[in-house]
Amino acid sequence: MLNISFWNMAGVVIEVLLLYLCLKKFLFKPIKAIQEKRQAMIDGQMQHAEQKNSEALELKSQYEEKIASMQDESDQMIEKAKKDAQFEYERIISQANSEAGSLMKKAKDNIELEREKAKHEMESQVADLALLAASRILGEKSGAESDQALYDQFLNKAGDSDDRDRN
Amino acid sequence: MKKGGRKTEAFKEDLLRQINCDTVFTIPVFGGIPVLESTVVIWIIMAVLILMSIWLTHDLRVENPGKKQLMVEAGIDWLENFFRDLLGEKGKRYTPYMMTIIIFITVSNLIGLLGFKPPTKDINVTAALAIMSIIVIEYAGIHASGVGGWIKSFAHPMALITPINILEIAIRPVSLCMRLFGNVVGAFVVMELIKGVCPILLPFPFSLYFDIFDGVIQAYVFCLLTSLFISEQIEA
Repeated sequence: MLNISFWNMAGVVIEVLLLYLCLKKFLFKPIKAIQEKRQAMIDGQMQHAEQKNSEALELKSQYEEKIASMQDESDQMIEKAKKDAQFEYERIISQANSEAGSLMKKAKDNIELEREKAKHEMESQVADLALLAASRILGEKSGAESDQALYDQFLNKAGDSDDRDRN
Repeated sequence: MKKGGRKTEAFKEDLLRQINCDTVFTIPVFGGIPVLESTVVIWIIMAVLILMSIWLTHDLRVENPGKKQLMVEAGIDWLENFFRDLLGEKGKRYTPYMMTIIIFITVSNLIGLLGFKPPTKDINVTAALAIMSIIVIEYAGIHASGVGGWIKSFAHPMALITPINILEIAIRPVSLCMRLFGNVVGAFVVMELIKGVCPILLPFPFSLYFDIFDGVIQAYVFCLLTSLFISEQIEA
């Protein structure tokens, strides 16, 4: 109990040191290693989760953007369709208008033409009548030249039906 | 029991025989090294601790650890945090040593319950532990502030108490050694006396205190003081 011996103390020191080294090797180190591994795993998982989360958020914002752009696109399409329809409508109306106009113009022209024709016919008939009348008046003596001269004279006197302002 | 009777004599003889550490055998080198009972028990404790460590850590898993692993990890964590708080961040390197010592002293103090003779009942063992403690304490001081700083630290906080500080090198291990040894032996003697007075039922609550609580407390105190001295040396 109280007999101190150097050998024993040295022995105890060596034994305790040995125990220290063995416990360090077989107990503390493995447990520390496993805890570090676990920590690393947890950190990795957290990082992974965070990454996934940010990815999901990014996707979400992308989709939102897409939806917004689709809305825009559909709005644009509707707008364009409206514009096209308006344009088409206006085109058709103007075409119809112009067609109607040209038809009217043709009709007018035709009428004018007819009038001209009638006038010419009347003129020629008047001329004939005048000639007849003149020949009746002048008798049989008149030749062709005198006829012509007479006719011209008559024309100058009578003029066109429109030329009222002329003498 | 009458005082001074034959029974008392016999009881005393028995007690002394039990307290005394017998030489189990002698190694025939250097004129014979006596191997004491305490040494044998220390070897047994070492073997058990090391084998248990190997058994407890042979199938550690990172994910879903078993109950066994959880218990081991919780215990080691608890010890580590305890010494981490005492030693601080700078004294982290002494944690494994302190953990070893607390485990060793606790087991040594409690092994009496299994019928072995506690090694801490041998003053050689407690003296060796105390000497190791003081070596670690002074080494920590030298490691933290260099030899010059360590020598200067004896004049801390004032030059007047330098001799006291130097004396402490001797006083600290002696107090550590004697406290542990005295408590274990005292507890043992008291328990034997109680058993002698009334061997049935009465020793039970006393055994709870003297054998278990006191053993654990002494291990705790020994390591607590060593850690405090180490951190004092590091901080100085």
